Amino acid sequence: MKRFVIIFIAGVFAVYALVFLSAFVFVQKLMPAVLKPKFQQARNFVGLGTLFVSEASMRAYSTSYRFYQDGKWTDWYFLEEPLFEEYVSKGRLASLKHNRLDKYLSQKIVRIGRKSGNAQMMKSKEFQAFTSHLFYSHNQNRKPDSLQIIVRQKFRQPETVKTIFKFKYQP
Amino acid sequence: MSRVQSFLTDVETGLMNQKDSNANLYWFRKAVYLLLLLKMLLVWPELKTFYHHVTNAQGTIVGFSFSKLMFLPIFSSFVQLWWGLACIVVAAATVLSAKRWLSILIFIISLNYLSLFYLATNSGDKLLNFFIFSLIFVNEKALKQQVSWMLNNATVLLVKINICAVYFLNGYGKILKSSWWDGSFMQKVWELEYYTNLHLVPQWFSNPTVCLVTSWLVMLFELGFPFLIWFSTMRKWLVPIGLIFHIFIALFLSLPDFGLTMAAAYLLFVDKMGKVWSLKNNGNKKKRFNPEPLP
Repeated sequence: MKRFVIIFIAGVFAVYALVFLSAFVFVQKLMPAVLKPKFQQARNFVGLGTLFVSEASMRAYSTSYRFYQDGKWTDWYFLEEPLFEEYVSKGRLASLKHNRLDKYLSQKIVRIGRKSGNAQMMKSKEFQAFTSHLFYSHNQNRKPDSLQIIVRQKFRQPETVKTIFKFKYQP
Repeated sequence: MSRVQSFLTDVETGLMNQKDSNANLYWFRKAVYLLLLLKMLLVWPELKTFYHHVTNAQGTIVGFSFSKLMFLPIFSSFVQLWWGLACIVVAAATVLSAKRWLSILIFIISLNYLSLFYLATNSGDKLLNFFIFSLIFVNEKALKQQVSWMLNNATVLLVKINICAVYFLNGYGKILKSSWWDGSFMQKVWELEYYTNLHLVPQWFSNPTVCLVTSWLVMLFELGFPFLIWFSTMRKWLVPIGLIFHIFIALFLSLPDFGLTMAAAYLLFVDKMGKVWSLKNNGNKKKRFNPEPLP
């Protein structure tokens, strides 16, 4: 029994060593393509990730939206800012998590839209997920007649914003 | 063949001769479960939002999966009740003594938490889930020479190595970037939208000299920790420094769950956990954590 457990433990540590090594780019280049997603899953499972390393993750975006309903356009609203403000002012963790979800969904459709065009983006399941969440959570579960989105990239020095993506959509 | 045998014998001897980790594991389990409970309670106000998003994005769950148990159609009308019961189970596991079936149940709850908040998770959530998984193999009442004693030590070792690996990967990723060498990346971190808490971060943190010094301190800590933590003389300095480091991250960079998860993992690096427990309990429960080997 003891020997069996030792073999099991040694095996677990050997697999862990492979998972750790798979985090390095030069090891990934040596790996068969079919194994890469499996190792990615394993790294996710053990929480092996990096924070504040990628330059791309340092870019700041701001999403604004408005709905056309009841025969008129609503005011423009910011998607991410109010939730983050709520977290920093009240310490509400739920708002921080909601902010992360909004940020992810918004940036996902921006990436698809900029890569494949608005028409293709509106057909994607990511866009369906984004609009469904927007209407449910930010418009009291109500489908508007029309939706307008503007995404801006923010720059600090000098403090400017640049519109990188906008579209109108009729659900 | 004899080499394999001697390797396995060395591993066995190494794991058997490790010092008692039962007290560390006891407090580690309490901290990890308490953290999961806190997160579950604090995110409850957005439960409906996330549940709607997941069920909408993924459609009806067809096959059975422990990680998506709460998304089964049968539970769709009782999500709040499901969450409430899950919170009660985690609270009970925090207070009660460790049971294998309870550890497995908590792991299933943790998997469901990850499935629900998967787009809003960070390394901290995944690490916590891994800690909860590792606790399945732990027996806090293990006695020396028992198989469970070996499993305890192997689990503690794996979790410790994992923490070191996280630090090393982060340090390695940073040292490869010239923007970390000159401190300019650190300046960007202090301006990072939806992360930096500008209500708490002082303006002087963005000073180029301060950023340069901070960058190097962070890199030295992350690259040094995995190697130095194994020496007891360094450990007594690294543990408090690391705790301060993670409290700073939690407060200033809006990663409270990540900071607290790492802080919980530090409990495994504290040397005098058994003594603290013995003093607190006036020696009555000492045997529970420092058991004498059976004759």
